[in-house]
Amino acid sequence: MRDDRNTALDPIYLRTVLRVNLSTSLFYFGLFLLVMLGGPIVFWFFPSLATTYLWSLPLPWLFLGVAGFPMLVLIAWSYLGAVEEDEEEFSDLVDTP
Amino acid sequence: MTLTTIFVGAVIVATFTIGLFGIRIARTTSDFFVATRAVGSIWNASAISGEYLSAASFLGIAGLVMKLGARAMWFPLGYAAGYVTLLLFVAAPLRRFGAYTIPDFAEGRFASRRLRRIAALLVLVIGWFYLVPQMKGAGVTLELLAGVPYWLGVVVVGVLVVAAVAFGGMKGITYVQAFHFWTKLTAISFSALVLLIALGWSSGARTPFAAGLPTFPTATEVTFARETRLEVPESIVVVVDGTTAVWPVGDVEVPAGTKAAFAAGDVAPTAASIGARDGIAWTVPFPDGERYGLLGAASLLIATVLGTMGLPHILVRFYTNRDAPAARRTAVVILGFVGVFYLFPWIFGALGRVWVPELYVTGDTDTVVLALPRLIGGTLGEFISALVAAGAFSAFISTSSGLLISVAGALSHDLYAQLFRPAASAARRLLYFRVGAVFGGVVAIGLGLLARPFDINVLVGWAFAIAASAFCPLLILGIWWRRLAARGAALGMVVGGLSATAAILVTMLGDVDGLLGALLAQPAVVTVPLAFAVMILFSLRARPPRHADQLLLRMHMPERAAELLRMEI
Repeated sequence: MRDDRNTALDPIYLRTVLRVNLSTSLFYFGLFLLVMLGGPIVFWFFPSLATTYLWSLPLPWLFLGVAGFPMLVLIAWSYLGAVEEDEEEFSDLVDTP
Repeated sequence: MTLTTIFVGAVIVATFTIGLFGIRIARTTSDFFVATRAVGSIWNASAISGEYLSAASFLGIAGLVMKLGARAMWFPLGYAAGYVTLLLFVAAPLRRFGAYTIPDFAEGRFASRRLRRIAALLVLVIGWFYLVPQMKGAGVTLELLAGVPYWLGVVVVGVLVVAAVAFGGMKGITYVQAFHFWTKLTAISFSALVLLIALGWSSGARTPFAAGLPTFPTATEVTFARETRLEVPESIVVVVDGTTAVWPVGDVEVPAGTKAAFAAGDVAPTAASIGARDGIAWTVPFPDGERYGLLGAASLLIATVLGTMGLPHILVRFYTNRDAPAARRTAVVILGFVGVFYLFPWIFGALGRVWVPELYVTGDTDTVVLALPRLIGGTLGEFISALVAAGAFSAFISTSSGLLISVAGALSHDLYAQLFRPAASAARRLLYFRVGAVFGGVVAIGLGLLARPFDINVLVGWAFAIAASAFCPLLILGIWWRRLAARGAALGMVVGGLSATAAILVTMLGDVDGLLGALLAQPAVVTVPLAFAVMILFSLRARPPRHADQLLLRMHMPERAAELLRMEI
């Protein structure tokens, strides 16, 4: 009997949980693309930046060799917080029939 | 016995000791194939990072940066970024699905044995493509350290790896690879800092970003192990085998065994395989006259960003997380670990341009990480030389063994046993796995012997492109789109994997110019969307697989909610 009940509920749950999970992932994927594609595009259209130095490193080297990594970690870290919060919220929703 | 021998020996002994200790824990055959589940996030992240940081990361990035300059700087960031997409779209759902390997997922998602076999064949292509540069790394490292011929280094390391895999299995390897990660991180960071202090980042004209062509910092003698064609950009006086000669601007053929002595301040000739780059062309990511630079960079980034999730030896390790939230945390910790690691390799490439231009002469830029520490004298110099040698060995052994496990598993479990011996006992399966490991290793060694002319990092970049084209669409659509059908998934994997492989083989065999050449050399920008399109088109017309809703629900439902709903997981 339990199986029948589940099957009746599933489409709503699936749609809700997919929508929540996907929109969170896509939001952070957008930020991620901004970092990953932003770099090449900026250096392609503003070639003078490639010979601008900061702390004796040209900007592309500074971005690709140093600064890019903490940016990625920051994005991943914030996603982790957001998705765990989403899952708590969803579970609470299920908990209150 | 030198310090280097002791350090490298210690890595090898530790690998086998920890591995054998692991065997004693692995009582059942399932433990042998699948490391026992309960491995904590830090351990697991160490092990995955250890498996991930291969010869390409440890030697190849520095080598390619020394050769190409800023244009090689996309690699480290791309290699790290792959874990962000893995985290956002794959890690948690795949852990909830419970698939161990990519072929497991392919079969489980579509209830189709045929999909398992197709996925297994693609695992072989990616696995071998990725193993070959590891073998090259081993060959050039032993050549430099021990003076043995290239082929001997390839064979020695190849045999070691086959032995470790055939007798070790997965359980031991978790700890072996965690140990390898910390060895590599210590080696690369400590020696980079010592080199920066000893040589200085830049002093006067001796800076990596100096305008002209690289010059010898001191009088340098170069021995040519192979026949080499040199491009001489500026006429120089050279002592060739004891006789003074003038090399005019143009090409010079140097026979194997030649010794050439260059004076301090001379512009270094470059091996034809390297090509001379002046300071500007080396410093900027898009030198003048590169019409397809942006396309190439974007395509490479797509390959690395989407390829990591399709690497067979990486994905299996996510299964050893306790649950989906643990898998996510592991991915973030890995990103932190490899992010710290990648701060260092390119420093060697930049210092190499200033301090060891003889590698431009011989064409062996892939050895710059090992060559630089030799400039530092005394005990400290000997110590960091030994340290980078130990790191390099950790790199080949951990990545190669992880890859070989995947290759052997695909050969024995997904292909041979499934097709011919479906009823084989556990003991027989273990035998098949060992035979698969030997066969897979022999193929890798054979191809590795031919790989010398190719850059380690370029070969690994290609393995990423194939992984991105074959497996990224399968995973993303399989996890997020309920309508993905078996036929679409199969066709998409085959079209994506084969088109990427074909493009790369054409690039390896010939020289194609222009837009087509740029796309063949970095095919992911075309082949990944192509694979997605094929999968979607051929699924729209088919009926979604039965139970697709149940499977997606299982992958996306948070643990607590699933428990409340008493779902069966």
